[in-house]
Amino acid sequence: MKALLLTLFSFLLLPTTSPISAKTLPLEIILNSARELDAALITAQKKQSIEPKPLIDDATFLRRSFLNIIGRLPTHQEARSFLENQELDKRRHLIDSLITSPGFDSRLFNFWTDLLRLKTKLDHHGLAWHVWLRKAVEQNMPYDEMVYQMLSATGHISENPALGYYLRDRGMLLDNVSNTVQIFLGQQIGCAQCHDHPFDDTTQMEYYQLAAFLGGSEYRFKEGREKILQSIATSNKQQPGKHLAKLSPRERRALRKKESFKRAQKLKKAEIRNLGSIFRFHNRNALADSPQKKLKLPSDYAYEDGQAGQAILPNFLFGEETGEIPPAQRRDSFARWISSPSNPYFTKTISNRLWKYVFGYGLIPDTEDLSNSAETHYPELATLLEQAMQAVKYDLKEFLRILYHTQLFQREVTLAEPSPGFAFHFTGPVLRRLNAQEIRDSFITLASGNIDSQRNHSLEEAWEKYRNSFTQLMTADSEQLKEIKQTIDRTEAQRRNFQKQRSLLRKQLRIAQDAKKMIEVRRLNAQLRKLRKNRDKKSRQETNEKAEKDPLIARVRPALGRNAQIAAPTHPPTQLRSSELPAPQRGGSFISEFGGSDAEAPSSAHTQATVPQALRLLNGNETDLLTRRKNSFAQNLKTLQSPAERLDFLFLSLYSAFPTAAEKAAFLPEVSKPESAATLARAILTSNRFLFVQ
Amino acid sequence: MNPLHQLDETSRRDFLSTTAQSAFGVTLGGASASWFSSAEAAEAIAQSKGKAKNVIYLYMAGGMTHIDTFDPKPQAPSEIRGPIKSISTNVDGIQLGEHLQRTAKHADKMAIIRSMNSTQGAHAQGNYHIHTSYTQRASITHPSLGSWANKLDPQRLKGTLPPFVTVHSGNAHPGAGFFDPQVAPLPIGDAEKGLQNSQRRRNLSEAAFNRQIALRTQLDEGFNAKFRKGQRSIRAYDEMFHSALALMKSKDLEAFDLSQESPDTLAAYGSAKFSKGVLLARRLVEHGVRFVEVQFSGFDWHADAFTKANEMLPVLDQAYAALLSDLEQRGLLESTLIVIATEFGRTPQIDQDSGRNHFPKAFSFALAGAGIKGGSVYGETDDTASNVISEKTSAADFNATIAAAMGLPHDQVLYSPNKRPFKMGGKTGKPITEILA
Repeated sequence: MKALLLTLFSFLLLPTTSPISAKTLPLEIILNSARELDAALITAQKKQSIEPKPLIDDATFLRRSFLNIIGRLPTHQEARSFLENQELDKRRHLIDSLITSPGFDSRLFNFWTDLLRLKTKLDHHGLAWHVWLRKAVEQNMPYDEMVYQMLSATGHISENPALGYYLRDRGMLLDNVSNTVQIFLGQQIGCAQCHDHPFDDTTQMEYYQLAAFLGGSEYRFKEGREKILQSIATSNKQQPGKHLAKLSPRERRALRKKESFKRAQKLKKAEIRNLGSIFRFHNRNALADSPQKKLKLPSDYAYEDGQAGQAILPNFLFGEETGEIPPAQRRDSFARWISSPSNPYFTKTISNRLWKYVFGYGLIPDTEDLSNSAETHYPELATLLEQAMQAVKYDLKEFLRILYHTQLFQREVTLAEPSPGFAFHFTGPVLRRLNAQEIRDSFITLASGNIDSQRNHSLEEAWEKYRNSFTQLMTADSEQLKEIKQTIDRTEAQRRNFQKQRSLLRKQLRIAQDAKKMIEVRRLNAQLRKLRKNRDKKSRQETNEKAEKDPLIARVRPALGRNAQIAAPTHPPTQLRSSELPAPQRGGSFISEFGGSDAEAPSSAHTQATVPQALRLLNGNETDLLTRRKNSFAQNLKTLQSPAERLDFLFLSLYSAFPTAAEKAAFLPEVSKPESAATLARAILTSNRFLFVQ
Repeated sequence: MNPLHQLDETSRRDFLSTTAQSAFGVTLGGASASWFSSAEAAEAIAQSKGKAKNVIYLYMAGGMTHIDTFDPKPQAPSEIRGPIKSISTNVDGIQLGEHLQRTAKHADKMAIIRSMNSTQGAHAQGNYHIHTSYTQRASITHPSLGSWANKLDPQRLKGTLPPFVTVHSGNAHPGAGFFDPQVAPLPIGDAEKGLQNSQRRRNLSEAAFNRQIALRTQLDEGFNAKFRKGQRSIRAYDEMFHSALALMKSKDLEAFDLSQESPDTLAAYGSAKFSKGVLLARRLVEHGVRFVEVQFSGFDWHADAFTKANEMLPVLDQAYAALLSDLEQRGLLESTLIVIATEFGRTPQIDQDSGRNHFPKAFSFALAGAGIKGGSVYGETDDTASNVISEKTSAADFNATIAAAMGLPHDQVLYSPNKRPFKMGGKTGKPITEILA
């Protein structure tokens, strides 16, 4: 343990002015740290007379490295070049080159979207957060910084897209707090939302005290109102009260009594209300802290330490004394407390999550609930991990690099699955099924080759558009604001009209259905469809016309609507990694069917077997990628002349290995013709050996 | 306490449920065989009066408001009662929220339980608790009702259709828990599309397809010899693969095809995603699927609750009423139990965002059809629907009631692979005999 600290600390003593994440740590430091982790594990295993698994061969290492580091299979060229490479330290080189490749960001981004429950298409903040998070991963933003930025965010998403974290749970403050504690501190306090936690120590009072840090939350866009006030002030020179400040108190009172003044006041209020609708959807994308607002105990609070409706002062769940906190600093203190290296669970939680990200199982088994989980059998190793995380200053890429360079990463997987309640000894990593994105991305790689650096720009573009139009809106003068308002009113009137007609038709439909007048029912259904179709057509037409006539409206439109207008991906779906798509993928999609996150609960993705998965691998149109002529797999297969070449190609592409002598004997007859080779390839896609990574 | 979120890499359900097998050297098939050779259990099933051969379980995900649906309080102050009025039903003395006008005409088939009570106020935990009768633990995943039903009475496992189907369910569904994959649900992601990929690809000959199946076994020989014994996840894939092949040959595949329904029937259920799910459930039950669960998502109304009520409750109302009429017409109501369940209710007090928040202290469920005494209300809440004042009912009691309606022994103990005892009706569940016919 000391050796690791020495290695890392000696590095940290180097004068560094730029953030660590900007450069790569020297390999020697990484290797030394990895050795320390291995040594701690082996020492502890020895005490229990546990033998580690032997090291894996090159082919297994290759497949595991590609899948566990960049989330896809290697192409047949990548596989061949590694397997035929004679260099002694080719494994190290492979690890480092994969870590610095764009595929690394892709896999890590999927991890975050699942953990954080990112919903790209939620209002505008989902998109804002998506783009921000993606950039944070790409720039390798230190983890503590990333968490702090999300948890301290307020204002409007245009300045602070990390705000998407809070807006994900807009209006559900208490749920958000339990999610935050689970995600970043690995603790479950959800029960205490309604009553004292039955097993752990958390009481309902403590829960509310923690939530009280965010008790000032108001989902309001304050600048919108200010903007309107300003606009009214500049547009109306005769505005009453404008010179009030210059008047004496008596003059002021006199002026206020005048009827004309009152009328003008009334008009002003109406105008504010009227223009206010321009910013109605901005309230969904903003968060303000009101210093006056406090969290109160619920009306059914049943314990003696507080009374229903009583306002609660913020207090940390554990650790340092909270002390007096001015209301304006509540959120910031909360963010600092969660993301502080001195918070006992902050570092533990992330280092354990990443251990699982690499080896398939938590060092502390339950990554979502550290305190209710069986203690790790390797406490020294767990401590070392935390120290390593702190020593690399939460640079996740470097931390993962240490884990990938361990001997453990090169050992054979264990024969039995880990079992809760029984110690798991990490004699090797865990055998696991490829996750949903890994299967999809491997398929895509088969079809299109290495497309890791291909980006879907439509998300960033939609976000840029929103921001620009938001700026336009906020700099519009009062005349322009009025014009915008008129357009909104027209659209709104159309929408209302549509809704009115629709609800009328629906009512008639219900009556007809109940009376079993089926011809009438059909007629009404057809009318409903027509109504909808016409509306869509009309609104498209008008948008286009309007844009030509009036560039202002066209410019601000993206900032007026409720939802982000995201264009179709900039590449065909077979040329984009899963990380380039909006999250989460809907029910019935490939990713959803293979257990991809549904973004409802933190870490909801799973790798459970189902019948629809088996059917998809057997009969899904994805299997055509092996035979579709324009795909790289089919093209390559066609150019190969001999059965031996074909078999090599199939095995390298799908199993990342050359066929063994026995496999050659068994399968060479199967690939005598390109068509029968495709049958073998289809069989491989459904095989366990393909679906699992050793 | 909320340990059962799916793992991103190794499935939590997988490893929780089965890994201990390898430790004990128990194979699940063997274990289940011995459970059912128990004379006691067989007798219990044979003698039961359960009438419900099938169950359609409608799950309102997010926590459905009770006060605006099945437990209206017309006398409560307006900040509790809200804008939704109460309406009468075809049973004297039973009232419902006004959005349930069609349902109101079926009250004579329903038993409404207004005294549901739980301690699980968060979504994942609540969902888990209602589905399994147990609270979430780090050390095990409990099976959900549909898996219990097919485990306790494995008859339907013999068919080519899976005996348990979930429609539109999220990842939080506990599925088969520690039971073997045989009783795991077949998940349908989109009812309208039904079961996809059940046909051999057109460009593939039957001979090539059969060759492909044979090759798979051959390809996996070495891999399976090494890992199959210790890894349930691999056995599960083999199991699913063979179920998939059986399904491809099934004559009942049309059960998944909504396009075979007449336009009138489609119109009667409604056009929402949930409505299609409900119609699919009827088709599946008709074809012998024992347990179909359909999820309706979006009941978490923390803000603008009454706008959402306007959007969603008529959808539920239409589909549910259409289902009851349809089943009745087809003579299936006598053998099908229809359930409406949710994770918890919502706070009677309306908050400043005109929302209602999580409320596990009091909520309502509804049962209808086979085995149920129609036109009944069980249990009661106080004047503001805030406290249960009579016949407090737990998830375990409710699930024991479903078991009883199905003629299954709710208190039959089955052991998890690590030898812990569990029951369909949870530790303490007792069937509500008052509402059983």
